[in-house]
Amino acid sequence: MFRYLLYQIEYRRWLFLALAVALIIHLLPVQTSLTPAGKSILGIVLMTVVLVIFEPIPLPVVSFLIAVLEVLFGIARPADVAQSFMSDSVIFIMGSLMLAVAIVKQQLDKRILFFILRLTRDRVRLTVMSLVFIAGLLASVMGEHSVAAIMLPVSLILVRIWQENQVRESNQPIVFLMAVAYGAAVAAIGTPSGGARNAIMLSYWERMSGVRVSYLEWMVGMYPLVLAQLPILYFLLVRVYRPAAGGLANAYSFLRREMHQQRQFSVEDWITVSILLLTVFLWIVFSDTLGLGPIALIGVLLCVVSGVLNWDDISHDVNWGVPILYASIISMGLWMDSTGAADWIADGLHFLLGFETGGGQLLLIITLTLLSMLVGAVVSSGPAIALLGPIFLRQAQISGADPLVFGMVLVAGASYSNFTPVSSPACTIIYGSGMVPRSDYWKIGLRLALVSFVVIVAFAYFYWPFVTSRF
Amino acid sequence: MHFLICIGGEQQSRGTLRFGLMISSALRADVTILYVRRPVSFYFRKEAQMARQKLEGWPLETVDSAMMKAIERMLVEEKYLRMVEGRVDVRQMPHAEKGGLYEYHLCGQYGENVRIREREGDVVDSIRRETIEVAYDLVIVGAPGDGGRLVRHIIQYIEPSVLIVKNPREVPYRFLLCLNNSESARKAQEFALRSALLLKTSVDVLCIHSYPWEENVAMTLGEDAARLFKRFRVPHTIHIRRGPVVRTILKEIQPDHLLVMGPSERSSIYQFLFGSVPVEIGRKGNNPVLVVK
Repeated sequence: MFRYLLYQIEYRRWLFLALAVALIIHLLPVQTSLTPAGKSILGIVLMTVVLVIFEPIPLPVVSFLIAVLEVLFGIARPADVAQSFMSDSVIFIMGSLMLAVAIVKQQLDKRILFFILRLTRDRVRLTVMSLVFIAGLLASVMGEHSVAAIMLPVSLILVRIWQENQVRESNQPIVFLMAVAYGAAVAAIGTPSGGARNAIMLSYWERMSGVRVSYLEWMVGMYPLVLAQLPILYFLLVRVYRPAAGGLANAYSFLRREMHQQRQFSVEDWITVSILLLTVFLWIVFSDTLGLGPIALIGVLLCVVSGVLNWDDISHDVNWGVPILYASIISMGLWMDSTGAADWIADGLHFLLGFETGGGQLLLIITLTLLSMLVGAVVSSGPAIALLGPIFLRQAQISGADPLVFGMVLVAGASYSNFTPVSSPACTIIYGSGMVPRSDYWKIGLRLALVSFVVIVAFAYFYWPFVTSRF
Repeated sequence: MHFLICIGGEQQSRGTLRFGLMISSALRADVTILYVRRPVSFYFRKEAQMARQKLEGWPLETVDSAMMKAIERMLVEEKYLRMVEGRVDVRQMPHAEKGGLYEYHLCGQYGENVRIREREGDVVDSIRRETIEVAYDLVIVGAPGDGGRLVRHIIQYIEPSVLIVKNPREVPYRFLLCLNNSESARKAQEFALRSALLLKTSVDVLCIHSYPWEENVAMTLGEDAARLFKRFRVPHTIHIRRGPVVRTILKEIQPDHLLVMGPSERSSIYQFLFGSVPVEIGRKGNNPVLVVK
């Protein structure tokens, strides 16, 4: 009995440490400028960071812990805590995950590879470019995790065929895998449906700054950044891996044989693609009035009613813990804002940095970009946006800047710091193939982050203030 | 007998696997080889599963089967598997079990069951779950250079006997049996006797006493052990030493020794706070350590 308990204590030591941190901060004497509730929520934030990094308990259970502590520490009444958990963004995340299941179920992978090879044949660099752009364009709408799941076999087949044809041993074939991983990761901020983290920012803008950003407005702000980054990524991959010409000659014939065995594009396939296109159309045109979440649910309803998706698929393949986790993190962000904790940190940051409005704006953008990239690298992009969102929006208020611009800086910065295999869903899934060494993520991630830093700062200084003033 | 050999990858675990197979084949034990994979983060677990399902639609070797094939290759190289017409005798092809576990069932050279299993998660937790589900007689684990956390957890929290493989060598090993006046040491002595008979090796018995008034007890233990080993005609030597236990064992141990000892009989809390002799030896020593439970 004792041995079992001691084992659990050792195995879950980070949980106990995180809880102790939260409790100590909750019990500390109050600072004059920080409310007791604000202090307690900061304790919960620190606890969450530790739990997200070390995962001593399943992350959905962390959400329960957040809800329980928000009530126990007296931050809010139970009804208010429950209310703070649900928002349009959470419904949107749930709907997007369900739609992704319908898409992954289709046999799109072989068709994509067939399309690429028919276009590129034996030209390796053109194949890499096609992978980067196709993964990117799909990920910007469907979410990077679905694209990585669909395109992993595509890139693996290319790797195998290339390895068989190229005599010398090298790491060059990895370029196909990295093209998919980073193509999808870079483009996932293109539209709100590209990833759950985008929905968090939309929620913060609406509930903290009172600005409702539509699907189309997000695209106008973010898609040019994606379109600027994808060619940069391609040149970076080609420069690092220097893929030799040729070696894919028999890939096309292999795939034709494979495709020959496969059935034609079925009615279900057509219906699924049509529903996805319709949903994107509705998001672009009606997200202002209908909201993002209900439109995603319309897509899911259509999938179920038309029979391309059944409840068993949804309940089995959707990672239900993700919306629960994001719901709790959004709730935490909202309480950071309403208890004054975000204000307190933003004030401190402003004081420390000593930037004045106007001349210091560029320096402030540089600092916030760096901060978002650093935190994104440590806790991954979703939690980084959730934790830093309230602080960045308050910072914008204090320095008289546009909260939309600062929010975009945060989303882009946190999403472009992919130094490790676990930094983004696409990188993790591709790493799961066992063919990419960890060091390659550092090699590509660091170079991409350095370039992205300059590009983000340029966008934040020149482009985003220009477009957001017209929203 | 059923042994569990735990490995963490292809290259670094070759020595552990070879050593474990040497012991298993001598004792004609069924073997399960457990490979523990790093867990995928919770965020992407479902998506990673979906990617795996997608891969099944292609003529590709998946990562899971690739690792299993690598272990199978190692077993063939070690001449541990039964071959039928130049091919491995497979009992059951790789298949998924409950709880994200993969299993591949082969036939050993002497008809033993050889299973290759793959789990995902924390190493100690995976080994612990494995030993709860299946009754193993011995768990064989390689000791990495991580400061001994793994060694401590394995010795302290795993139920069956444990063999910590450190610096495995291509030499015939002798047993160094550490005895004291405890029930666990008596079990270790029985195990050493049986193993020495099967492996046809000698046993050096080490009885350590920390205080002068314990010398008689140590002498009696040594005499009893000598009588036992003599009866079964196992070559042996008896050494009675005085001093701190850990330091004395580390001083007496030779490069070709496999250390055999019982677990600490102190309470779990004491061991948690202050450690134990087997853990200290497992961490500080350079030889394989067998803790008989």
